This record gives sequence, C-alpha cells and structure tokens, in this order.
Amino acid sequence: MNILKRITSDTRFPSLGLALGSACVLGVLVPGAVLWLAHLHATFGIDIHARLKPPTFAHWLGTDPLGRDTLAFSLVGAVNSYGISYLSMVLALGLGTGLGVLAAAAGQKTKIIANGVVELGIAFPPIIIAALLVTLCGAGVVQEICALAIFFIPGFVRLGQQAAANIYAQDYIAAARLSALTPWRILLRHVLPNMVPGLLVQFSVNVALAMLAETGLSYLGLGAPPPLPELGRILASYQVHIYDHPHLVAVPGVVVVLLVLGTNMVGDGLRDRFARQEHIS
Amino acid sequence: MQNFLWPFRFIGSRLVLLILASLIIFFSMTLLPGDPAEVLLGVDAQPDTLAALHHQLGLDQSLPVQYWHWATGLLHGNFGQSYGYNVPVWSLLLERLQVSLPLAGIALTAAVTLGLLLGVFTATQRGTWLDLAFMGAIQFTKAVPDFWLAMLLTGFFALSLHWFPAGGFAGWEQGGSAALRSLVLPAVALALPQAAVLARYTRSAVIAVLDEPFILTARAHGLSERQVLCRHVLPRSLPSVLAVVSLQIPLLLSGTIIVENVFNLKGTGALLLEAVNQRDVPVVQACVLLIVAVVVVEKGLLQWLEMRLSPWLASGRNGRAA
Amino acid sequence: MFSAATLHRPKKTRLRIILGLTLFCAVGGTPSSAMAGAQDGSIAVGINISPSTLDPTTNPSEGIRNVTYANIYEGLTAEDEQGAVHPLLAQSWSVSPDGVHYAFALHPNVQFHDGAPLTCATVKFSLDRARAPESLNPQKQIFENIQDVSCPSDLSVSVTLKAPHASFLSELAWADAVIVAPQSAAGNAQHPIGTGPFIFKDWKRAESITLKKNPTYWGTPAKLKTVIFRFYTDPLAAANALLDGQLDAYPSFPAPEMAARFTQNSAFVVKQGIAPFKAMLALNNRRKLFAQPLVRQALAYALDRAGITEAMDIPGALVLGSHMSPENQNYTDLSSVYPYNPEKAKALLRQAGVEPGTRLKLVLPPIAYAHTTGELVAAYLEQVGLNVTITQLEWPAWLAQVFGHHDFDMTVIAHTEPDDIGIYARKDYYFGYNNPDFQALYAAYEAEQDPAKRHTLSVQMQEKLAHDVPNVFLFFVPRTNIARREVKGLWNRLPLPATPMSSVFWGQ
Repeated sequence: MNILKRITSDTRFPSLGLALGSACVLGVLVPGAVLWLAHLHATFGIDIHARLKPPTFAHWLGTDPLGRDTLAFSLVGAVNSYGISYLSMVLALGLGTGLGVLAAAAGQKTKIIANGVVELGIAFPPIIIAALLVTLCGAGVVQEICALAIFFIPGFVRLGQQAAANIYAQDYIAAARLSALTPWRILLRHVLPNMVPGLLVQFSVNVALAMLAETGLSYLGLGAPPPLPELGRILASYQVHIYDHPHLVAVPGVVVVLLVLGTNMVGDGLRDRFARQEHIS
Repeated sequence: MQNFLWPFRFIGSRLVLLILASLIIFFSMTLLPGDPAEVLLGVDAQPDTLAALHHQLGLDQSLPVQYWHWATGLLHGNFGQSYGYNVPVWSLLLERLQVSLPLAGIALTAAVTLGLLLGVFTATQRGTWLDLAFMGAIQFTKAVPDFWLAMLLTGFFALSLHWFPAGGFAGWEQGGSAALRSLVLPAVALALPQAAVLARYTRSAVIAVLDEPFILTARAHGLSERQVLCRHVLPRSLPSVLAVVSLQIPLLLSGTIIVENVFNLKGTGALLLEAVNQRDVPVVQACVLLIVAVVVVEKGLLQWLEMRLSPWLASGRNGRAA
Repeated sequence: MFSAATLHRPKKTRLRIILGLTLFCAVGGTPSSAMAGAQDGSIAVGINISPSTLDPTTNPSEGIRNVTYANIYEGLTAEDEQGAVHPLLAQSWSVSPDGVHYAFALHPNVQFHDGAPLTCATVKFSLDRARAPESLNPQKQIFENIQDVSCPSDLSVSVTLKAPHASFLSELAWADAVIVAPQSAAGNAQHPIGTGPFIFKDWKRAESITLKKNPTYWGTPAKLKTVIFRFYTDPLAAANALLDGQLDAYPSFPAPEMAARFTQNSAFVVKQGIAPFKAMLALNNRRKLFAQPLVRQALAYALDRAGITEAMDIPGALVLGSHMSPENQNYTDLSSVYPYNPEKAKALLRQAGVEPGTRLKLVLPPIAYAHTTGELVAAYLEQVGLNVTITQLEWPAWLAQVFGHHDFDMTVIAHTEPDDIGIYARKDYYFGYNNPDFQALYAAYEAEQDPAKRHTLSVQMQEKLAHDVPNVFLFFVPRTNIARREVKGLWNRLPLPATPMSSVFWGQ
C-alpha cells in the first residue's frame, strides 16, 4: 500500500511516470528516427504489386495499400508529426510567453492587447486557422506549424502573464527595484528564470495536445502534402480498409496514443519533480 | 464602484473585439485565392457568365464597400445572403444550430459531470488501487484522438450492438428520443477526452486544497468528509476548474468538425469549414461572430459565477489590481 | 433492440471485441429497421456531393444533377442507359439536311408540378433564358449556338442553329438543358418545379432531400412513393450508414475499397456501374518543357499505369490510352500505345535535353484518388530522374490556380463529363493543347451527321490524342453501385450524372 501511495501521490514518486512516459515516447521515436534517416532521400518503398500483404519477417505488420511497410511508415509518420508539434510549441512558447511577460511587465495598454489576442485566438478554431493558412499559402510543413502555434499562443500568453505577474508581486522584485536595477535586468535575471519550471511543464502538456491537433489537421488533409508521411493522413488513407484490414487503422492509432500518453506522463513527471524541488528548497 | 462599471467595460471591449474579428475574417477571406463565383459556376464557366454572377453577388464592388454593406446590414439584424446556398445566412445557421447546440450541450454536461465526479473521487481516493486504475484510464483517454475514438465507438455500439445509429441526425420533427439517440455517440466521442482533461485538473485542484492546513483544522473540528468537501474544498477548487471549462466551450461549438464528419452530422463546424472552402464569406463571417459571441457571453457568465463562488478571490484580485 | 444475430454471436467474437483491435470483424446481422422502406414504398439513397442550390441550369454541381435530373426536371430529349438519345418532352423531331433547323413536336398533356402546362412558349423561355447574356448556364456554349427559337404552334418548336452541331440532340438531354417554366424558374434554386415523375418535398441543407411521387405524371408513373437522398462527405460514414440500415442504396459508393465488405454480405448486391470517368495526369502544354512531344511521351513511358490502376483497388478498373471511357459508344482501347518502360523514358528525356533532377510542380485537387495517384506519379517520375513537388489545394484554390491562371506543371484530375473530347480543340483550355490537326478533326466530327462516319472520326481523334499525349491518360474506374438485395431497377450504366428513380422498386 505504501508503494502504491508513492506511485499515485502527486509529489513523492514522480520518477516512475517520467520513466514510463519517456519509454513510450522514445520507443516510438528512436526506431522512427532511424527509419526517417534511412528514408530521407528515397520515396518511401512504394511497391504496388506488394500491396496489402499479411505480416512477414521482412514486414512485421504487413504492407499498406501502396505496398509500404505499415509499421515503418507509421513510425516515420510519428517522427514527422511529433517534430511538427514540437516545433509549433517552441514557436508558440516563444511568442506567447513573450507577449504575456510584456503584458505583465508593462502597463495596462499592453495588457489589453494581450487579452485581445487571447480572446481572438480562442474565437478562431484551429481547423479554420489551418484552412485559411493552407488556402493562402498552400499546404506545407511551415504552414502547419504556424497554424498549430497560432492556436496555442493564447494559452501561453495567459500563462506567461499570470506567472510573470505572480513573480512581480514577490518581495524580492520590490527589493531589486529599490536597488535600482533596470526593468530589463529584473526581467532577465529574476523573472524569466523563475518562470522556467512552470513553462516547461506547460510546454510538455501542450506538445501532447498539439500532437492530437496535428493528427486531426492532417487527417482532414490540412497538414503537410505527401509524400511526407504524417499520422493523421496515414489514418485517413487507411480508414477505408477498416473492415478488411482493421490492423491498418489500429497501428497508426496506437502510435498516436503511445506518443501522446508518453508525452503527458513526462509532463506530469516533470511537474511533480519541480513541485518536489520547490518543496525541498 | 468598479463592480458596477464592470459589465459596461466588459461589453465595450468585447464589441471592439467583435469588430476586429469580423475585419480579420473578411479581409483574410478576400485574400484567399479562388473566386466564389468560379466555385459556383465550375470549370466550364465563361467570362461573361462569371461577370454576371459577380454583379449578382455584389463582388464587383470594392472591398471596403462590400464590408460596409455587410456591416450596415448587420446593424439591421441582417447577416447577409449566403453566396452558395443563396438563402439568408441566419436561416442556415438556425438549421445547423439545431444539431450543434444540443450536441455541444450534451457533450459539455457529460464532460463536466464526469470530469468533476472522477476528479473529486480520485482525489479523495488518492493512493488507492482505485485511484491508480482511474488515473490510468484518464491518462489513456486523454491520449486518444477523438476521430479515432469515434470510429471505434461506431464500430462497436452502432454496427455490432445496434444500440445507437451509426451516424446522421434524425431531426427533431421525428420526436426527441430519436434525435437524442443519434447524438449520443458523437457526444461521447467529444466528451470523453474533455472529461479526462477536466478530471485531471479537478483532481490536482482538489488535492491542492486538501493539503492546505485549514482542512486539517476543519477535520479536527469534527466535520465529516462530505462536509469538508462541500463546504471548504469544492468552493476553493472550482474556480480554476471553471477556467478550464471556459476554454473547452468554444472548442465544442466549432472544434467538432472532425467528429461531425465521422458521424455525418451537419453542425456549425461543418458549415464553417464548408463555407471557407467555398469562399462563402457571409457564412464564414456569421459563424465566426457567433463563436466570438459565445466566448464573450460565456466568459461574462463565468466571471460572474467565479465572483459568486469565491468572493474572497474576487476582492483579492481587485485588491491586487489597485 | 438486439437483433437475433447479435444475441447468438459466438463467445469467441466477444473475446476479440474485448481485445479491441478487431472490433470491426464483429459487425453482423441486419438491423430490424432496414426493410421498413419496402413496406411504405420509400427508399433512402446515398449521394456524395451535397447540392447548394437545386437549379441545374444555373449551377454545374454534380449533386444537383444526382438529385433533380430525370426525377424532378426533364429535357426535350433523354439518354438511355446505353447513351442513345430518345424522345422525352419532345415526342419526335426532324432535322434539316444542312443540320441547322430542328423541328420538335412536344408531348401533349404535360404539366409542371404547380399545374402549369408545357407549351412551346415554355420551351422558348427555357432556351432563351439559357442563352441570354446574363445567363448563368454552366454549358452556355450549347445555347449560344442557337440563332432563333420560334413557335409554329402550341405543341411544336422550331430551333435554328448558327452552325451545324451534330451533338445538339444529345446535349439537349443534359441537365443544363432541362425545361423550366417562366413562373417558377426563379424559385427553382430553392424549390424546384419541373415536369418529372417526382415532386420536391423537403430539403435539409447538406443533410437530405425528400421527393415524393408525382400522382399526375404525364408518362409512366414512379413505383416508389418517397425517395430520400442523403449526403455523405466521409466514406466511412457512408459505409456505416449502409451497414446500419439508414440507406438502402448507394449508386456511386465513395469508398470502393470497402466494397468487399458488402459483397460478402448477402443483404447487399454490389455492381460495377459505368459512367464517364477519365483520370489523367494533365500537363500544362504551355510550359516549354511539355510543349515538346518527346517529353510528354517520356512521361507516358515512365508511369506504370497498370500499377496505378491496380492501386485504385476497384474491380473493373481499366487503363486508358486516350480521352474516352468505355461507356461511350465510340470508345477504342488504346492503352498499349505507351507501355511502361522507364529505360525508354530516360532515353527520351536525354534526347530532349532534360536535365536529371529537373523540378516539376504537381498540383492536386482535394480528392482521394488524386492524392493516391499523385503520390504514385511522384514516385515513378523520381525513378526516371525527375523531382516532383506535390502541392495539395482545396477546390477554389485549385480551380483558380489550374483553370484560372494556368499556374501548374502537372495535375491529376478525372473528367467525368460525357463525350467531352472537344476540350482538346479549345486552345484556351487549362492544359493549353493547341494542335491544328486535332482541331480540324473535331470540326469535321461536329459537322458530320452520319453516325458511322462520326464514329470513324471519333476514333481518329482518340488515336491522335493517344499518340500525341497532351495529357498522360491514366485510368477509368467503374462506379461502385451498392444496394440492398431487394432494391431493383437502379440504373447501372449512367451516361450522364443522374440517379433516375422512377423505375426503381422493392422486389424480392
């Protein structure tokens, strides 16, 4: 019972979740990355005459409707989807938090602008942002990254603003102000470093959400164009085989679940670890 | 004093927001390649035919004039005429809301109820096998793409068990129960992942309050667990949970496009995507404005609720702001 | 609620359900509601494209034709399943020897759904409306060739053409040429009124359209009382609706890959229907690269068209060698003109001086077959040393870029119009094929009245295109026509986009 308590408690035993989560993510991404590199310059093994073959030693989970290895193709798709989600969150983190911190540091006007951005962002659903971007600039990796980032920016603005406002309200900031430090120095030396743990947690949680959103976008055909494999588009192109080859729909689906689950667990583990550190210090 | 002015400030700033949103959407729609008339008339259309339709739709006027016509029409309660369907936009929206509103309503109610119950339950059961099992299930549900879940649900509950229809909307004129039955599976597909997210937040929020020293004091005063939960824990943990709910509501009105697609439901989400693809600017405008309006109303309600639930938080906020 | 089949499912299946991954093997049984339609004479039919208006004379959407044509609206002539022209509202006609004067005798006692009678004035109104300067008719060129329409009597119509046009009678059978009445024409987009065997009843936009039987139809009345057309955007949702019993028939099933699921199920009959379908890799002949016949031939050799056709996963799919599909009476098999030969393709490219690694832009419209084909084309062209960048667009953008601005190197598209080889004579058309020999052949074909000579000319046109490859012709796929076993009388061959329902009935 004691061990159980340690596993499930939020603060005491976070390493297990971290380890399991990392295992899920790395278990998909490492073989995926190897395959990704191997197929960097080749069209992904299309062989029409070997389409929809059952599992063999060469193709562990059989081949897909265009004769590609189902498992390998899904794993490479996972690397692309994860990479796109990750990069979009880096972008959203940078822009969103930047605006949020500015809003907290500067006066009322910036705050109003930041709030406007947040609410406008909420009003435009991600699929519509993506549809507009894709129509305007054509489908592409960059467009997809931007569409996802735009959708997640409001969350980071809000978080950045709240976190920064909390830190600005602390006594040591007042002390720093009294000792005539410039606002920029205060921002760089005291505010930003103290925001890192919270942002990191939010970042990993959002990467998981972005993965789901990315899968949805590419499922609807708003992702990057072929031949670049992405999990959503793979699912969309396999779904018509749900009755005759159900495993084709299962494989990319399970890969998505593993990645998102793993990322979430890593995020939770990180949060708990930071919480414990704070507790100790 | 501030509290009395608050609604006016709130409404004023939101009006600016609405105008901004409509400007953004209008001009980004007109920037898009592709011409609504070309979409309507197809590949073999001749130039004079296109010109005739342009004139009919008012597309031969300059952009600011087009926007002005639309905006003044709106002031008279006129959302404009759909390019594609050639009917008033409001009648299209009304048709779609008959599907979207109940769907969003059911999904939201289910997500909130399930999420709160599970969250509070797992928090009070912290450290037991039950908690572990539920948390595992919650983590898993959070990781499932909604359209994949929708496919699995249809395969099992509709095609194997025949408990629910596999898709489509029966329509209200067929009687309420048939209509509701056709919304069950999509509502579940929408609600489960959201409920999981909420349960996770609720659990953390409740645990955070449970760990506060004053809870020990309350227990020491001989309050039962239920009393502790209802009187002390929930009022303090609900506001942060409500904030999460407020983020989920607009998603339920518009972000349902994929699930609607799998179940062949024709809601506002589907209408919005269809309208973007057909360059049906008046319809896109109306849909986006509707969503912004929902966001605005819902945020106002939530702020009010938050103030009612935890007056000390509201006063604390005002104090900090001052 | 449970059907018998569900209750008696063996335990083993339950286990597999719990295992989760093979959920869909467990699908079985027929829902009890499925045969309800047989009793009350109603049928639910699945359609792929939801119409935005219901007037085929002002909008080219296939969805409009699938619902309204031959059910609500009728034309002067009609085509049968084989594509042969028959009398309809015009019970007979005569054509002058110079092919310019047409005299039609109208069927007497024809009434519109609102009670208005069909007279020559109605026909004159319809044709004049279609050729007016402000007309939005999608096939305006048919009517612009009309010099004059006059009414010798109430039931006879005289039409004079500007130039002889032998396809005129079959073009009058198109949905763009249906006869509408002056007092109802303006409202047809929302509430269609025609002379057909079914009357428009109800429309839930994007969801369904209900028609009911016309009790006072002038011809053979419809056998069904009610027809409901339902619209599906997602192939899986369409399949589920059929399996679930919400639909009784799907004449153009969107996911032929799933057809096997229905062939195995004794409750359904799956047929290979035939309708115009010419999938091709369209090349922008205005580009310097594709202006060279050598390069176009190289591309034709570079693609394994048999493989691409096989990847469509549809029984009955055929490799095409020219711009004509087998539903057409003039169709000739020319698929072996350029057999798959990557070595020859490389040699031809070298001969034409095309550098290896040359970049080509492949622009794809948002349709499943185009995406699959596009991916395969890119893979094959890479094997002969060409680099392909794929861009996926949605319809308006694709239309604007490809049809409007001719800003593309290659695109994948299927032409589904009947008998449209004439597009190769239009030098301003999107692929920009400008060949005087072909234009001369087409002019001769349109001026010719004799069917045998027309056939010879048509074959010559097809051969000309097959050798000259203005576009790389890829494949024809049949329509997958799925219906409950008891549904009879559905058209299997369709020369025009339509779903004629008047002959459909519930049998055994």
